Amino acid sequence: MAVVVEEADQSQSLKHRVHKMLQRLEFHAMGCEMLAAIDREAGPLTLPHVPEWFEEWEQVLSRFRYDSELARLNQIHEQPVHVSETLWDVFRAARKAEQMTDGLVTPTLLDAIIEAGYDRPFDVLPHQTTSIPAPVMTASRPLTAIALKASTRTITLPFGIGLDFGGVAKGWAAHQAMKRLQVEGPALVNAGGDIAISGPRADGNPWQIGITDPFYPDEEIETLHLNACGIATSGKDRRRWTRNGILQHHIIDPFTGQPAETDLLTVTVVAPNVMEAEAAAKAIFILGGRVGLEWIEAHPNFAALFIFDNGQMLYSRKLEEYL
Amino acid sequence: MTAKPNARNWSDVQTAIATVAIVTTLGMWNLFAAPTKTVTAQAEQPTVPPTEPPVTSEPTLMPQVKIMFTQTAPQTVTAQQPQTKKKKKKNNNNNGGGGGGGGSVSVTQTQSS
Repeated sequence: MAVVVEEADQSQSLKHRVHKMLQRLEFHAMGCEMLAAIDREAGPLTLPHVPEWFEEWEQVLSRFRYDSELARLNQIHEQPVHVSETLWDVFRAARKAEQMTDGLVTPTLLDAIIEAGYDRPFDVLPHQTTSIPAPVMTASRPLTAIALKASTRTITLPFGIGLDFGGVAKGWAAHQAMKRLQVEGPALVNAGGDIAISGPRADGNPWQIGITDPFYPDEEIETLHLNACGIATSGKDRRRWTRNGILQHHIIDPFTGQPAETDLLTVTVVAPNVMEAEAAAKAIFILGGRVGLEWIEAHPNFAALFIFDNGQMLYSRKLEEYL
Repeated sequence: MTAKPNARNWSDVQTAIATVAIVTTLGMWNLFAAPTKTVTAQAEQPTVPPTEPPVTSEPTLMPQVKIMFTQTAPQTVTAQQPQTKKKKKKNNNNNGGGGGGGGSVSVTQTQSS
């Protein structure tokens, strides 16, 4: 897992070339491809440790590891459970996401996502599954149904609620890694598409971030120029499968308990941080194009690019600033 | 020998009455036939739905929104603004070459997570 050093445009002056040395590390974690990068000249000390951080967080937050802290918490109901600082922080991030999206993004949909067929890591999930249809899931329960005690850092799950932090955990991890790396220079962490950026690059220029074309995954459909912010994409173009002949995807509508029915294929959001970007992208995806556009325009700190099922693209007004 | 002029006069009267009758009939025909044609013509026109006010976008929704179509868009193009097809760039997520600021290549990409 060697750190790769990129050299910039040879046509630039030597001074500029030095500032544009980009140290990057790619690895696999949380079921995704990860990238950590620092824009600095000498080899950073912290960069090689990023995979260890993600492994540590995954052991706490994964619902697919039966010995993870989250898995153990999900097995205990009606009893206060003392949790680690990591799980506590992610729970708070999830609660903020739920409040920001009026309940559209919530971690209390564990049963629904399992019922939809997403019951194991996506890498090993069969693309076609069959199962006996279960009763239609009812609407999710809000996180306020869970008892918390900050002084002892305990969580009490009521019966019938399990937690799946999903994208919130990935966004949180990217944000935490970026905060640790930025001590050594301008940093960027990409956790499977959820990207945290500390600020401008060493030469003062913004980072160029591509948006993958969902129809042609080897190509970029747009390039954004970003400084301190987060960017994330939600969609049904990748994590999807068929169950009993019906196409399923991993974004659950909390009001139906089923994969969201939407006219959007993907939504990319730029927000002040990656956790907000991830939550906003998921909420807009569930809302659909028309209501989603109203939502994004009502949040002046957010920008978005919608890609509809038919290939139509729609830019929010603020996104112009990043083109 | 005086009866002939009288007979000729009666014949003239008959001719005059017939002429007046024919003229009156044609006149009346035209008078009443014309409105009927008009009504028929109106009735044959296709039904036009009530005129709706012109659709205008809500200021908070659509202004300044760029709409484009990718190559896969199956629908007829109905963009609100002239379309500008973005030049697609190759993804170079997996190699170590290139990159860096100032160039035209992205450092990384966002995709559905």
